[in-house]
Amino acid sequence: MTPLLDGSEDPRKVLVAREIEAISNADIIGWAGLHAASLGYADDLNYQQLVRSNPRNAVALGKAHGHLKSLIARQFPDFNDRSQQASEMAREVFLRRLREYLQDDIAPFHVCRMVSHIEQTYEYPHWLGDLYNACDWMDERTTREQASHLGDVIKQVIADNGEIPVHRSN
Amino acid sequence: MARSQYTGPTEMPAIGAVRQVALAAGRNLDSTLAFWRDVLGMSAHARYDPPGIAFIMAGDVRLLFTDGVPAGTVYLDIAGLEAFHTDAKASGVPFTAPPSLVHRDTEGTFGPAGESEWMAFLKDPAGNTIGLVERHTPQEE
Repeated sequence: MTPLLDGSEDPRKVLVAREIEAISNADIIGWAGLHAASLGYADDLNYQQLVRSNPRNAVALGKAHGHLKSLIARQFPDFNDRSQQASEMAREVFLRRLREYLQDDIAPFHVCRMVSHIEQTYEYPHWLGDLYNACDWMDERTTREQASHLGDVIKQVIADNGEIPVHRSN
Repeated sequence: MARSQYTGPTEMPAIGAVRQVALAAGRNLDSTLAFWRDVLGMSAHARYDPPGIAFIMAGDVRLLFTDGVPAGTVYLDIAGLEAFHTDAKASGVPFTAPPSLVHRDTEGTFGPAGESEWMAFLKDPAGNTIGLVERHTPQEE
């Protein structure tokens, strides 16, 4: 699976991505390794912990989400991860993952587990389209072949959100 | 002469509940059983060496750990899925998927109508996939 984050993301967007299960704790550490921190938080203790974390260390992995939350709470105290601002960040991250699905990069369950988190956190936003129904009975063992309907629904969601599906050229 | 076709027994057999499910023992049965005991709190009910098989009871169903079968998938009921996931993850247990909503049983097909099924997934050292399942009432969602 291609890393979703390229390091340019604001830490608040990374937190939102983690909260909706679009990324893992390893992705948080990967992001910190690539990110050029602003002066405001470059020396933050939790940010430094993330930068120094080894993604192959299970203990460090387990702490990554907590470090990120502490960083946000200290450096962005007004940020509410359930706000409209956060919802827009979630939408952007989610659409990025949907495009990856169309590029055969992630499994159906990876999309669908994000859906339930988004529904609950952002109160069933309209931009989820019909994924609520399309994700019924999708679990970790569900193959892309079994979920052939999901691609069509995802294309529709991307179109409804004003995004053009990107297909891998090679 | 046309061969007569088997049409089945005149009375259907009284097949009942699941008695036993076979899962892979993996390269090291000790490690596999230790995982089930330490992570899931399910100890071996019986073990036979030779031939190197073991049973764990999941309710009334025997889980047979043996060589010669591919890694399987088993779904187990759990109470307190979210808390278990939090604690186990903090202890370093790698989940392949955190608790996620998989099905809304709006019509009550598998239990009380309106409940939803949440599942989390992890793998044991033998490569078996373990789905942990909890039903939530609408109030719990």
